[in-house]
Amino acid sequence: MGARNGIVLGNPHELRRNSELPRPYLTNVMVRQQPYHGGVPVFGESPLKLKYWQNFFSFSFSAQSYSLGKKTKFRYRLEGFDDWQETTDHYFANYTNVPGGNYVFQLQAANNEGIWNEEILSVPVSITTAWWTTTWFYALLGMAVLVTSWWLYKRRIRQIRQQEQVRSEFEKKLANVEMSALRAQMNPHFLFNSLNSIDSYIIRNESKKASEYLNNFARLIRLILQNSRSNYISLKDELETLELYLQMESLRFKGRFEYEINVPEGLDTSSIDIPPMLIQTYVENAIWHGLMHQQRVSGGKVKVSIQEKDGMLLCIVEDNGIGRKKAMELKAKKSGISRRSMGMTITQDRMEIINKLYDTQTAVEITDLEDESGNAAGTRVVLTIPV
Amino acid sequence: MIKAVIIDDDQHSIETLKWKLENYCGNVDVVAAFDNSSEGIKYLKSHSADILFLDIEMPMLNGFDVLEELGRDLPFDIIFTTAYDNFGIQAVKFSALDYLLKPVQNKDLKEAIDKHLKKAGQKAPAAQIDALLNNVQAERKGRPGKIALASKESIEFVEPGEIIVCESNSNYTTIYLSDGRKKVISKTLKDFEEMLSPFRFFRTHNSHLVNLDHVREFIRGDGGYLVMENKMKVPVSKNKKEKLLEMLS
Repeated sequence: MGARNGIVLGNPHELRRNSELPRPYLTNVMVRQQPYHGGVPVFGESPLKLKYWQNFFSFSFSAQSYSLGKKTKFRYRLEGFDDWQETTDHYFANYTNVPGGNYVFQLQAANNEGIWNEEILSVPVSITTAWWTTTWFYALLGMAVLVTSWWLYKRRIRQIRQQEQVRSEFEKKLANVEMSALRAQMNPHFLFNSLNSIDSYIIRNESKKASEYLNNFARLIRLILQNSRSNYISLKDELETLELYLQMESLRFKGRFEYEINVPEGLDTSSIDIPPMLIQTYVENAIWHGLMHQQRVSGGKVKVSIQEKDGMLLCIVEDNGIGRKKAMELKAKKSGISRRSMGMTITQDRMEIINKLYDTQTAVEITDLEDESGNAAGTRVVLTIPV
Repeated sequence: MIKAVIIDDDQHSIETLKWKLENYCGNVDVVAAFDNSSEGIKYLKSHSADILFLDIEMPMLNGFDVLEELGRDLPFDIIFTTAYDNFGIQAVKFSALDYLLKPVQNKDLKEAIDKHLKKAGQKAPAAQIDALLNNVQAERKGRPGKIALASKESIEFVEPGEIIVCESNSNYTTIYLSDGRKKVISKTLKDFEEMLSPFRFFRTHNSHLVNLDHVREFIRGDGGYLVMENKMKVPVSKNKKEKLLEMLS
């Protein structure tokens, strides 16, 4: 090789490679931007012990070498977390969000010729696990979630069942009430007594009366069957049923009571709908409790009046009987047959259901009537039906 | 002639009954009829009669009230009438007293009169009236009351709970009581079934009516059979088995 003043001779075989290998060491360890409390394990002499919340850390490093310069190459890894990273331009390793566990930080350096120092710097790193990230915690949590959702599911089912039960109970009650309305109307006593009356007309050869009575009876039964099928009927039908019923009962009791049905003129009874069989229970009650308990053999009176007022239909059933107080007394004292009051309970139940079903306010008001000297003079029942 | 009195609030009932008595039972004379029970009581206190036809459901004083008023030792026989057999009729049946359903069937009426004649015009025993009035009270309070077991020699009153099995014997029924005795009553098993079915009695078979509260064991088989507390074996017919097991559980 020529030089300024001569030549330089060299034997290529005698050229030595750079046999000096840099030895890496740590210059600093930072945990969450703070110097590591346990000091810097410069050559990896002590492990790094971190808590789960300290899992942001970095290592700064360098290497010892006499012929180092800028040519030194490093590679590092956190065994169990990442793979080898080579670097020549920055002398630090940054780790963020490392999950709990045991790792080993390894650092290796190479000289300018790219020969790696076999001696690797190793620093064990252990990071504790947060209790809520442990397996058993997850298992427990999973179980809790399962149990909770099962419970919620069960509760929902129970809720739905309950609702259904309430609904079906309501429907059952409704059906029952409808049935009992029918039964109250088709009062077997009334049925058989009517047949008995017809029997008596036949026996006495009063064929015209027998036929009339039978026709009324048939018409009444037809109306009752028809009425009991619907939730609403026209006032006209209800009044016809009532009239037939009163007519037959007064015939049977041979003038022991009279009746009267007053409907204001011009009231279109066929266009007004009311729940069926409400009025009759009160009329039946008036006859049985009010009138029949009287000693006198005639002069009893039942008056049914219909009025319309402020969108309300008023049905007034009035009798001049012994009054509620006396009737109650008699019932308490004597072995009164309880069937009659059952009719009233049925009506009360039906009224509640009708109010619930149609969100209306059908109301009943019962007043005890008195004469001038304060004696009981009968009972007045006022039914208020929204129309 | 048999002297009959009718108390019924319904004039039509009085008329039909009177007509039927006079036309179908030639030997009966209706001496008085009242559509007001208090007047009837007044009459009966001062006049003699052989049979009283008494309506159960009446305003003011009903049939049972009339009996209370008349006292229990009646000097006449009694036949109840009612349009429908709901309240009260159970008590009447329990007391083994006679009753007729209105409108009165001629056949039933004749039978009732025949029965009266067979008793040789006896009055209704005070014990039966007493049992009836107690049964009315019991029925109102929802208690079972006592059932009259009338045989030729005596009338015994037992609670339904004392009966273990009723066994049919054509027109007679043998009653097995919990104290080990048995009684033969001239009533059909159907009569007893009607009276006792509200008190957990079940017809297991054509010829047997059992008190479910006295069943000790059910032995499986074709229909199977029941062993009662008195060790009696009662057959169960195939088609009754399911219902029986349902009622036993």
